[in-house]
Amino acid sequence: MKGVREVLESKILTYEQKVLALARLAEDSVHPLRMSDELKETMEKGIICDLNEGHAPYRPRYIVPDYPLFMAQGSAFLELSPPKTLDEALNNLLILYKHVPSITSFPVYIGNLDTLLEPFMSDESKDYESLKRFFIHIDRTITDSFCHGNVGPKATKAGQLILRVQRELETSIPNLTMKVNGDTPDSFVIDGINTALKTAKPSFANDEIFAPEFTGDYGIVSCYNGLPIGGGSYTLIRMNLAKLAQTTKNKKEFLDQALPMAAKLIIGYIDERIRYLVEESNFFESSFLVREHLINKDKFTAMLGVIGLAEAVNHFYDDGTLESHFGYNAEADDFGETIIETLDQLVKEHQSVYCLGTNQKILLHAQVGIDTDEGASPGCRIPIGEEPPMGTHLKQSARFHKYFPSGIGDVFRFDETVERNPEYMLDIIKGGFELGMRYFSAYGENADVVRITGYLVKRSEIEKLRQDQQVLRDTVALGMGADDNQHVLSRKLRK
Amino acid sequence: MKGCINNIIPFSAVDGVGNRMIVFFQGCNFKCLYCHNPETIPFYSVADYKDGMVMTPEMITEKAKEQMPFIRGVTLSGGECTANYDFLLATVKLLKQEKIHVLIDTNGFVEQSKLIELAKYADGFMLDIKAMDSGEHICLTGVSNDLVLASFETLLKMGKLTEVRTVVLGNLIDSRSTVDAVSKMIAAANPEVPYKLIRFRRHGVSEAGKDLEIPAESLIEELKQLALRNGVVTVITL
Ligand code: SF4
Repeated sequence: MKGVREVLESKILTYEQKVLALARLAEDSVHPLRMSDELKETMEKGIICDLNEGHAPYRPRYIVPDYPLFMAQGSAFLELSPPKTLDEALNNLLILYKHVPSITSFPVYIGNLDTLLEPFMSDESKDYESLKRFFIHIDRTITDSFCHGNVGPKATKAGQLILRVQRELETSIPNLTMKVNGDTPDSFVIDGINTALKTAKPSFANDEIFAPEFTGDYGIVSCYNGLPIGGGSYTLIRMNLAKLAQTTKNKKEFLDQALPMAAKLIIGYIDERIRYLVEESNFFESSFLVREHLINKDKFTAMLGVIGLAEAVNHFYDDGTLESHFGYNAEADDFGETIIETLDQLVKEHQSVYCLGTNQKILLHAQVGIDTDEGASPGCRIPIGEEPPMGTHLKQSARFHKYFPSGIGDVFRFDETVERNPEYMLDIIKGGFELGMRYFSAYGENADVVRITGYLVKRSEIEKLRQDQQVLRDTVALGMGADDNQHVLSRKLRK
Repeated sequence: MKGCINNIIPFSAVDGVGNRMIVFFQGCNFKCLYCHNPETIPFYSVADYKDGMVMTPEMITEKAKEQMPFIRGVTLSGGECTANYDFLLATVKLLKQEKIHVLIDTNGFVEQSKLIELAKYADGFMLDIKAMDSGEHICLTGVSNDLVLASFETLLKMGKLTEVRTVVLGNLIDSRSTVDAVSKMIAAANPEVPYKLIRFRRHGVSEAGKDLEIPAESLIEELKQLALRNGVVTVITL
């Protein structure tokens, strides 16, 4: 972490980025969390990482407000009455967004926008212009790509207009997910596919898997995290399986000793962070979101992330050939699933008292990595550069999806020929969903907006930053780091 | 039974609507000057086939099943797959036993009795009509187009004509009169059959086609309008 003066005097950071960086430095100057030496040591080794969540959690990492409730009741605190027109609705939302905290201080969830706005649709061309202004406003003021909106699973006029706006604007913010189930018409999904090929969003979420897990009310948030509406996630701490594997001599030691030990430490740390947030930070006592029931402590959960499954498995199976690797070797893949199954069991055995949104269970999350990661692929992904043919890839990946309600997914880069045949991608998505895949992301090879790992960045902005020019959106720096260290822009081209 | 398979593309976006596995059979009875895959033209015996894979219908079907549920079906192409009739028929039957959707990509140069037998099983055919004038057809492919036009009629009657295609050239043949005649034929028989106009491109073409010219973009558009005016409902240009 940079020092105060370095931040203050930076020529690259915008004013807003400086203020946020200074707030982080202030937070990190205190140490209210109880942490054992063993935990600290494991964190120093990089086996457990809190993703710079800060030393004193004073707001939940991800907040998923109940926007339909906000639409219905307005807000006493913000002095807003329930909207009657589209412009009032959009204006109210833009106001609320500025008051939804998160780890980045920007809202990570901005609502199931189509169903939220459908009641206000009237004149198509006017509505289109209003929506366009709304999305420009979001892109230029919520300068962080972890901001995520949802559309679907119902096809609506509002949904179609929202997609059309994305195709026209080609912005990296907000991120967008289309929820898809058996009732979603193909034409709406194809509209989504055409949009994704142009501007890397929406991604597609398998509503038939997510909905029962969250009893219907969930939002896709931040990168691709499924979380309960009206709540969110207190925290996300991750385990680097690749680094953990390196500390062990064989699979047995890894599974029987190292993994349970690391799981105990990380779960304890998650609980400690929640304890401080809930019991000491007074967040839930001071937020008007709570007073107005837009969020509720009973709807929150917490996330345990994993990265580097592929490298952990390869640590035990690599014999110098690709055929021995995760993604190519059935035995290695089975062992990968055993690791996740074991961790899933360990997590399910634990009762986390404040995770009332998910029956006091912490959720597993396939973390997409951070810009500085090296030698550990996101979640359970096959490393970039080793991607097998697509059919094999999807089947291999789908088997892990059931373990990760709070998010997992692969990103595929498509050749331009797909633009003439969006049904091609429709078949792939449907096939994947049939196999239990919960999430699918794609972008077209010619698009400026690209999906880095979970979030979106414009290639043209990365180039600006490489030349030391100032950029508005803070995630551009993450994208540049991820390309330097993980070569994310060199994903295999699918045609 | 075994056959020579030049290549298999498990996921293809360019061989029919949706995602399809495409199987390129080795060997063709035409020698089109503009062939994009001239290496698929020669016939080989299974014993001395080195360039691709010697496969059984079972192996092809197994490969297709591996791609499920991501593909909509299989497209059998070439070369000219009907030139390997017995092997093709066995493959089609087996794929259909597995309830896999099958399209056959053909130049139409096949005995009608064989075509009828194939059409009993296959879900549809994509037929190339390369030139309407027999002289031009011989000049371009080495053979007359009588059988091709008969195949057009046969497939139409059986309701198995999925698509008709013509490669548009800048010289050698009069693409305008071919497109005019073919689109009139389609419109008269079943205007719903899509007609695809493919702009000639040099990619992959052998020495034999070095004098062929790429048609102007405007010609493609003009021919598309012509076909639409003649009554074809769907005209696709590539
Ligand atoms: S019919 Fe097709 S495969 Fe055969 S020579 Fe002509 S273009 Fe090539």
